[in-house]
Amino acid sequence: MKRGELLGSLEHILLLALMRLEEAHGMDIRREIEARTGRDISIGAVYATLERLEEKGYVSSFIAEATPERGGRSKRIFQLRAAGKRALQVSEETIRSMTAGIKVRLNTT
Amino acid sequence: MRSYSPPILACWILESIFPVSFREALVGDLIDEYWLRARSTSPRAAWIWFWGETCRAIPSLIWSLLRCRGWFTRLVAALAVYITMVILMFSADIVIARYLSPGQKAQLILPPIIFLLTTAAGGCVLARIRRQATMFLALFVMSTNIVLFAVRICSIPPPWWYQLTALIFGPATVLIAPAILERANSRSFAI
Repeated sequence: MKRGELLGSLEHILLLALMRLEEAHGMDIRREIEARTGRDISIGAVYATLERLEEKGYVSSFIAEATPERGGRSKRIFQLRAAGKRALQVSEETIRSMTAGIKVRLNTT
Repeated sequence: MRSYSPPILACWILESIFPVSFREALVGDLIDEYWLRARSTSPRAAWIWFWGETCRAIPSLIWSLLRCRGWFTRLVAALAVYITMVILMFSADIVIARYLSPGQKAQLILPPIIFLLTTAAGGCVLARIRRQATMFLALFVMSTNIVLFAVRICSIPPPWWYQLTALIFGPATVLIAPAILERANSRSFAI
């Protein structure tokens, strides 16, 4: 991850979901996000973001066997890579340093 | 009991417009979820959900195209093809106006046919250069037609099917024609 480059909000959430699930396909990740955050993200957005994260080297994927239930279409399973973990650490550190000292103000509305 | 299945047209649209790298997994996931929903709710609700997801997936694709690397090259390629298409359509219009009298039916029918043929050809050419740029071309076709209809460039209002052709079938042809060509090619290879 380049210095100063931050993860987008959806990228961040997707990586965190993948960290929780360890190995998952698009719909699993979507369900996890919906269950935890209540955000209903379209499957198109999930795959487009995963594709981008794979291009950046933060996640990897492999093709699982096709099933008749899926109309003979194969599953694509995603995994978090070490670079993705590092990107999450950098993001967390950035957020922590930016919120240091203002947490009280954040909690008062 | 009535048999039910995921909407074939929606699957086909998704498989035609999404990048090869994840179209199979995306459509497969949607079909999986469709069966779960059809069992837990109703086939009709699942069918509506599937179409909703199809419509929601398209803006995500446009957004991802804008965010991914190389989007500028795709935009330029789409613009170049679009300009060529416009030049071809204008030339055809001039020829039609020159050789056909205003009252003839052919003068009314030929322009939309030429428009659709040009958009199909433009889509196929662009798909060979940059597959993912076709979405940009479809957006160009749709947005310029919206502007043209909004400013009412014609003194006589065009028939409704002109507007339908320009706004729906035009952009759809840009996306669908390359997919049809690809399938035809892969079939001929298989034979």
